Amino acid sequence: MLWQMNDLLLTVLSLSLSGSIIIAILFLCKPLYKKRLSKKWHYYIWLVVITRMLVPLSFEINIVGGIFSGFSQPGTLENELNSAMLGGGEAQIITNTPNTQNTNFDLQTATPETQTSATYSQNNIFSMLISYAWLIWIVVAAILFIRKLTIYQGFVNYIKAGRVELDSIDDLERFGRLMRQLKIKKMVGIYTNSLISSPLLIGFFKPYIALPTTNISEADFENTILHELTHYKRGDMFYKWLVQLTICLHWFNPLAYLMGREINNACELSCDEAVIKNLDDDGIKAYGNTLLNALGFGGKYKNALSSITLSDNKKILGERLNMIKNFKKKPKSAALCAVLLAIVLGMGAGIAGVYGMTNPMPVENNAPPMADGGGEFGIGTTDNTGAESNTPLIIDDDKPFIGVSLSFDIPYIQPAESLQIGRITFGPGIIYNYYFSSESGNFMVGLRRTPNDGSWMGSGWFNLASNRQGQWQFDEEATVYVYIISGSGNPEFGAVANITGHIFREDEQITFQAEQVTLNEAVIMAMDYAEKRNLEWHGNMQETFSVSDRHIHVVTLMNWTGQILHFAAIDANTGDIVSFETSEIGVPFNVLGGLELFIQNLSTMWS
Amino acid sequence: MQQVSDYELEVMKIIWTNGGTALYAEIVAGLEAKNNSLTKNTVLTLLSRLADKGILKTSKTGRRNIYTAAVTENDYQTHQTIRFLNKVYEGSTKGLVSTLIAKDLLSRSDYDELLNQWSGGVVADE
Repeated sequence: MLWQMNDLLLTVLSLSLSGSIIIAILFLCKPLYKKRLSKKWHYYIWLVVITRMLVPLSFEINIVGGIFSGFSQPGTLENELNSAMLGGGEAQIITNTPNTQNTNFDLQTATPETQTSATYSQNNIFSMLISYAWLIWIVVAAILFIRKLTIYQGFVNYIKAGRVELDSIDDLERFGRLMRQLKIKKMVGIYTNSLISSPLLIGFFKPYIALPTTNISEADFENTILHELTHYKRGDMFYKWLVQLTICLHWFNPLAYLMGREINNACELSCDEAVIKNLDDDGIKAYGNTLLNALGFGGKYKNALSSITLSDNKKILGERLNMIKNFKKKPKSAALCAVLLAIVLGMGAGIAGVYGMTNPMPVENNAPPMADGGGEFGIGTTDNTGAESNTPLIIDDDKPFIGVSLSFDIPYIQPAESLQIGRITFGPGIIYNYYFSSESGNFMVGLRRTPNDGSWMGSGWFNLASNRQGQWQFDEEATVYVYIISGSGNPEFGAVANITGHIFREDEQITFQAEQVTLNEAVIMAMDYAEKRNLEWHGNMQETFSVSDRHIHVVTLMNWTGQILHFAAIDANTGDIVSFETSEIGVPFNVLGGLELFIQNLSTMWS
Repeated sequence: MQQVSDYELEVMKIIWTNGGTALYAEIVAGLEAKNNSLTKNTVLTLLSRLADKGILKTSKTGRRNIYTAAVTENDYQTHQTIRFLNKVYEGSTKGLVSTLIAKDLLSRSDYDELLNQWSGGVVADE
């Protein structure tokens, strides 16, 4: 689950980055559009940025997503897998030479734990911190937002406590006529409050306007009310809280705060603009005077967080007065231009993108291939040399393997011995990446077709001393056992220590994104489960099945010989371990039969 | 009971006259009949104030509000009279009644009728 949670954080970071790009563009280009576009545009264009920063959806072209996939998931799943697997050291293994000669021997481990424990614990602390980064982020965001809410609530209570109803029916009627003029249907209250310094609009559910006094001129009253009602009509309060939410979620991003300030200013300017649009020259002049007059009332409570005030900031008053003085109706062409620019910016925001959200695909139903495959297993395009004919795969040791189909970690293999690792089904045309490494010694990976009839798959041998990563792709579906063969069968090469390997489907990161639990997390869950019960295992494989319309990750943990198999079924949507069974089968690696039985049991249980 | 303003009382009277409940449209019609047409926001404000004071209850039928008097006209009058009595006559009913009679606000026959009623007699049916 932790990985998924950090994915959330990465998503937020990527949203923050793409948002920042657009914020930077808007600020840098401001001299170009400041005079040319309406204040309304200045105000609402930020909705594009906010949408980008809150909605983790993206177009196919995705800049930030590309950057982020480069350093995604900084912790190491691999380490977790390794340390989980290193847990059980004293296992009995049955090795298997290519000529099917079985030899039993007791494993004499070179105790890799002692060599690597220091690095592991260091890594663990670091990866622990990283694992919980999402928690830090979410806690800070929540604290900030709750703090804002309480401050606002305190302010609302303060204003409410000091408010007095307007007793003059004439004032009420003047107000009512302005409401009618602006075609506002819902009720807006009006009060006076001698504690406030400037008029304000407050309240989400029962909004009302509070005036410092009604002892003002007719024009001031009208302009003030028109200004506040315009805020109300445009839903500026919701916009402001949306901005506050964005700032809280992106609390680490200084540009978010800068944007918040800019939106506040643009809000007032565009509100002024909306009011004076309907006024004549004298009216505009009077409106400017109202703004100046509003400064005269000295209140005691200055905190106006997210309430809508007529003029809460003397600094921007100059700008507002300037705008009012120089107000000219923008020509139609400017409006068209503004809309086009907004669309372009919106597209830009979409392209700027977000981590991990490109090209979402529906969940694929991986029905288990239960066929016994009696006929020939033709290998279509097996890429023997690995990376050469395909895009080279860059393996970062810290990067977890997405959609792992088979993982193993073997402390030791005797010279000239081979070891069955597990079974894997290659879907037709699907690219599988493999990555193998060892601490010392040479080894090869062999693929042997199933049923285990002794024939090796064509040239499916890989000398991993020279080439440890690459890709496999088969034209037809092929179910094979994977073998590790020490030292090319030549005793001279010596034993191999600490072999790790991962075979993973390239497309599974996307395939299982829609699910609550990824295949990776399912593996970790199954391992945790087994570890808590001291169950023995050394290798694992996993696949997602569709059983009675439920997506189930089935993780198979097996011991060295394959005689003990643990099957864990994890509901991909809920993350619950719905079933865990251990079966001891006499025949080594009869995974196929065991898995089939396990799935059958599940479907019987749910049908 | 909280005091209501003149316009709020106007609204209440319309509701009382209407049988204790009224829709917004009926209240507006009532105000217009008395040459007191007010803007919508003012009417809504008055109604909301009355509801805040507990004199009016608001409920919904479909999308329309129904305004129901939480206080009967009689209760309101009684309450206001006692308040007036206490405020102006310091609780002296005698003072109030003598003012009413002295200024001919209460006629002799009205007085007798009330007296008869209070002493348990039957109202003269003439």
